[in-house]
Amino acid sequence: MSGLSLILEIGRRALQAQQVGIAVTSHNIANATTPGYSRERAGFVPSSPLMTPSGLLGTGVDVAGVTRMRDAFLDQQARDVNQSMSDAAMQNQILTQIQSTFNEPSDTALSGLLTGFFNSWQSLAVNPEDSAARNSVLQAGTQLAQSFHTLSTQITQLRTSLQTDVSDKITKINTLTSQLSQLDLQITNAQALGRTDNDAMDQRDEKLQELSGLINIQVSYDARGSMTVSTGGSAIASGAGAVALQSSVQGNQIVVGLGAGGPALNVTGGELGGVLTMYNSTIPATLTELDQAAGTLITRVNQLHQAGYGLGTPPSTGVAFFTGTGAADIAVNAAVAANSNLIAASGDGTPGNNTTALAIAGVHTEKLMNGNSASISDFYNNMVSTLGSSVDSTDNQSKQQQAVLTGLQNQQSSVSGVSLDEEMTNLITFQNGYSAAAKVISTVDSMFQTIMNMVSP
Amino acid sequence: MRITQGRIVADFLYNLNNTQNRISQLQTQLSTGRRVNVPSDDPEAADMILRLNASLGRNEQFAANVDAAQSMLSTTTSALDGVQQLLGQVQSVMAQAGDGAKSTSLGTLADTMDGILSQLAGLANTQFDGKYVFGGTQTQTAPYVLTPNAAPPPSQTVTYNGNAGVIDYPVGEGQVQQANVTGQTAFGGTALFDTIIRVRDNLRAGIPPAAADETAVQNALNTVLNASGTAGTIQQSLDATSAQLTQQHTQLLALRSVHQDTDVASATLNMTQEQTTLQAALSVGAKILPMSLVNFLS
Repeated sequence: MSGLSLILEIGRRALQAQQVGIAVTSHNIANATTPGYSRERAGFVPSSPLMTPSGLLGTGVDVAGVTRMRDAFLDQQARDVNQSMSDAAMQNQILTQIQSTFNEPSDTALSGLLTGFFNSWQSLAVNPEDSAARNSVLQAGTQLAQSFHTLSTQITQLRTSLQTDVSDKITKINTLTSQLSQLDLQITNAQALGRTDNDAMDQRDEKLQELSGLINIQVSYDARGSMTVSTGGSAIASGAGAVALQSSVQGNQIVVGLGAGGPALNVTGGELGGVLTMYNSTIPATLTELDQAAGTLITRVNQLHQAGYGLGTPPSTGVAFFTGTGAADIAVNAAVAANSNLIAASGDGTPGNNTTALAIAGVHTEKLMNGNSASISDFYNNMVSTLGSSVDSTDNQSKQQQAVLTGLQNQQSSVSGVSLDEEMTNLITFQNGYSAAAKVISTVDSMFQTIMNMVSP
Repeated sequence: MRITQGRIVADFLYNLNNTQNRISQLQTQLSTGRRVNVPSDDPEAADMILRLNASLGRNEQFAANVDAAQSMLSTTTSALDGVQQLLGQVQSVMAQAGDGAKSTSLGTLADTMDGILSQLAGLANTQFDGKYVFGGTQTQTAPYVLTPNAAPPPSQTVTYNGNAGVIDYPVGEGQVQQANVTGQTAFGGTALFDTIIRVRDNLRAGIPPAAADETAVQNALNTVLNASGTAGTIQQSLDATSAQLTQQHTQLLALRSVHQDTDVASATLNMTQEQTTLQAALSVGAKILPMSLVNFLS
């Protein structure tokens, strides 16, 4: 029936198809700035031809479906890069805080106070009888001890505050995984009915990207397009549901486990990975080094001090200058702080002798650490510059990964991003198509009129 | 490659942010005058700066120690100069006593000797900054005490309460300098005083000084001169050390400046460049970003 009705039908379908095209275009324009949105395209296909005596005759256009433009491979790469970038950026953020705690290089920071402390012993060596010189030693010693103590306390506090950070991040992860699981269910349900839920798929990709910034994940899809998200080999989210992560402090470490009392997860990336690295290894190592420096100082100064003599008759001896064992509890011996005559400058008990003061002043350059290859100052300076290197390298790493991510996002946007120019062009095309189809219909209408006129008298 | 508006905006922001970061960094460098403000700015330089700061601190302390040693030694040498003059007087008194032609009675000369003796004792107990300089490490007790003898002769005995203790001042890395002259070195312990007491006692008893006494005084004078010479040599060497420390200080400052300070010329130049980049970016952004086909469709 290659009659006018067929042409009318073709015109109707064309109108409908162009309308769908315009609808998709306006959906694209509306979502041009929506994060994670992938542009969509109406898939136009010619409808099945009709066998007529004059051969196969086309029957117009069909809309085969609306597809989103997305490259799964780019998504995978973007997640991998995001995960190591977030890890480095997180570590950088915490290391920067530790670095600012040290406040180096500065005269008022620990390095300057170490110099000041040993210089005060030199001054005492010059004036072993002088109470002003003794008070300077006390003051310098107290400042140094306080500086060690403050550093240790602040870094410990920073570390403790990371516990909250970890639980916040785990809450975020758990929210995301349960959202992902729902979205996945929504997508597969639509799939079962032969529909493609493009917007839900966009959201799922966006959430996966967000999740990759928090924790290292691997994503796999089955034949139905249903995803499984796993971390360190354990599945944490799929259409079947999500497994909540839980963190617990075990001894000196934070352990992230799968579900309540579940197996421990090996978290290696994302912000959570960064925080855990800091909490579980970097910060304890820094604190240990600080303790080593303080401990060596205490032991050596006390050893020399106890062998020396203070002022008085008979001169005091065997008195410790510092109390404590590490950075957290180092303090000037309260007895010495109360009576500066107990400070031992003399090596033989005579008031003018200064050999003990000289020996203690010499501890500044004495190689006591790292197998007698570094002085306390060297050890501390090295610690500070290593910290600086870590800040610098994590910063570089995160910037580098950011640049790679930006490149990937460029590619993603090249595939999925909405170009307004393109959409406007499409709009004009669809509009023209619509006008043309309308013209076809009005032509057929006038043809019908002609026939009607022929029939009527 | 398909370029989308969203991408142009994101790229623009990313690059703008990078430029502003660099500007902020340069601004910090220029406003603090320091290239390295935190260790991460340049970890190796930070290590050097910390070392140099310690060296500078130690250098300044050594310089202060040298100054203290100089003061201590100049007090010592001026006391020794006084002792030399007094011994000269002792010699002239002894010459007068030996010269029969002189009319001055031996008793008067004995009184003069007595005055000299107490001046000598005063000089031998010279204090600097609360310390007896000739007492060795016994700096808190007067080293020379004259006490009347219950069973003369001699009429007075002298005790040396000091010791032979050396007081070393740190004046450089691994370098110490003795800053004291003990009573033993300067006066041969109590020898000088013993001689003068004996001569005085003899004069009072009407006995002129013997040749052995003159030799003893000459020996004492030589000892003092030696001690004074040694102190002078130490002072000279301290002057050299001080000059060296000052030179080191200048070098350390220069070296620290190399590691720590902003190269103002190049930082300013970079800043100008970055500013130009920023202006260009903003101006291009203002022109490109609002544009799309929409603007041209009626």
